[in-house]
Amino acid sequence: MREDNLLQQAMSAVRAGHELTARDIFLEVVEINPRNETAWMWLTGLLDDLDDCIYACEQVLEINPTNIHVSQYRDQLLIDKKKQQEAQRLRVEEQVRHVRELIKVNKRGEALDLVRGLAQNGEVNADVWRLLADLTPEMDEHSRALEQLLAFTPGDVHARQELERLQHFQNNPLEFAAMYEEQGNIEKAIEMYGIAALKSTSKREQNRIYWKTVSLENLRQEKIAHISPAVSIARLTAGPPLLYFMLLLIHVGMNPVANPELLLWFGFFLVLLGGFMIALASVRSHHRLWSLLFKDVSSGGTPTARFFMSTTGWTLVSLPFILMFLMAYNRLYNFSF
Amino acid sequence: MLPINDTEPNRYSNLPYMTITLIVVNTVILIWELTLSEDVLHGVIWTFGITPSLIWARQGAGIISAITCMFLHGGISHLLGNMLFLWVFGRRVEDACGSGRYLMYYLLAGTTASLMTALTMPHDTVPSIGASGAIFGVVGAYFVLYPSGRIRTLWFITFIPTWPKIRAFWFVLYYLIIQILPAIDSYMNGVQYGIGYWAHLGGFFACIFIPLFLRPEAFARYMSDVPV
Repeated sequence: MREDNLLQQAMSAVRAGHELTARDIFLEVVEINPRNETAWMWLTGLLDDLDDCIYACEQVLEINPTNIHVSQYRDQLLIDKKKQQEAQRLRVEEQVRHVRELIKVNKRGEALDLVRGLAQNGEVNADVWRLLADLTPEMDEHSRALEQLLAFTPGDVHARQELERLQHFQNNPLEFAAMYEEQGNIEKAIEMYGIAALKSTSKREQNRIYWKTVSLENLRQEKIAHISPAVSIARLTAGPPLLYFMLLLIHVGMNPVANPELLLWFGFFLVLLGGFMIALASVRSHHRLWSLLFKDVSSGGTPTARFFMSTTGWTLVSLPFILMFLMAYNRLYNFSF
Repeated sequence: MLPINDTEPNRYSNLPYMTITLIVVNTVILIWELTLSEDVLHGVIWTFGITPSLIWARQGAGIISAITCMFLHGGISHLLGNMLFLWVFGRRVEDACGSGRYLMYYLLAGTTASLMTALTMPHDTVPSIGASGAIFGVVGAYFVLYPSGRIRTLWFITFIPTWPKIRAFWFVLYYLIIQILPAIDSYMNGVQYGIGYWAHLGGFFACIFIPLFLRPEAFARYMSDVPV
């Protein structure tokens, strides 16, 4: 009885031009009786959203599959929806192109605002989420963007690894701070060390974080240039091979052409490799080697991984030196003044 | 003019472990040398000192002597002079490098000194000993890293001692310049001074490699043109 009264009220409201009131009353009717065909029929024309209208049509057709008018109307709506989706796709692609151009001219802030706008309006594709993940400085937003990206492209291994790494960092703020420090983002590094200090329970670690923060604040205050870890690794790699090369020159009587000593020259490359490994272990750096050799999620090297890298490096550096000294000892043994 | 101390404090570490270790090792070796008979000591110096003609002939101890000659000294005054310079200039260079890398740089500077001696006096048959080549490398590193550092020095003006502070740049420049003329003289005219001037210059030359041995923060400071 109430259902009929509401229906009459809603129809009167439509006739009086109060469409919003009518829509609400029809919705109340379908809430009371979800199989009320008349109410659903009215709703097909009163709802704002295209998807809602299609849903209403489908409800009508479920109750009365022979309703040809609604069936035709639904088909029309589906065509409209497709057109709308296509237009949206083109619009998003255009926006994505624009964002990439902004990134090219180093207007990352503007690009980020645009991508955020697209994501908020639901005008998204995989590229939008990828760009948002790349541009955002916020860890939570980065993580959310990667999750959305994976919903579009579940097979994207890189995005999955990146998400895993991000989740690892969320649980280990100290490592995350070190990563920011490595990138030269001192503000974020100090912020993350602050979070790590709050989470830390050990007094020793808190002390370490304190001194780290003080040192970063000094760097910021004195405007110290950021040196990329790649430069530090290359620089520190060169020390041991340089010493080896000079000793080798002495060993071959200052004439490497006449006295080639191939084995010792081969040793030079071992020293170079060892030097690289020692430098890699001593510089706080994210490197593919860490994840390749040690399956390290963060790619920053765990203390154990760094220990092994350093030990192997020292072994590789030492062996050619030992060989050269043994050869020199042999020469001395067979020499008389 | 002698250096007494460097008036600036360390930035990264408290104690210069490696500099102290090098001083102790050099001292212990000299004490051992003093206990040897003259013949044995003679043999030690001929075997473990660096002799340019033997290097070119690929004879003798070769690279062993290139390292061991850095730890042998001819007497107490030779050792004291070298260790004074090592203490004054090594402390902050070690601070900027870290102990391990500092040792490697020290050995590199000593080797460069030996190489320079061998290159400039290839026919010299007299063995050279002393840490001065390596120490000049350390002094050179100090010159590169802390040119405006203040060194307290000891002067005697008509027997009256004074100890003014001098900028490291001028102090090192003075010591560098007084090496050049005798070095050229010994090269051009074959004059034997009994001092390895070319080794000093060779060791000093190693200072161009010091950026390879600095700790990352010290390198960043050096590149930013702020005190290391």
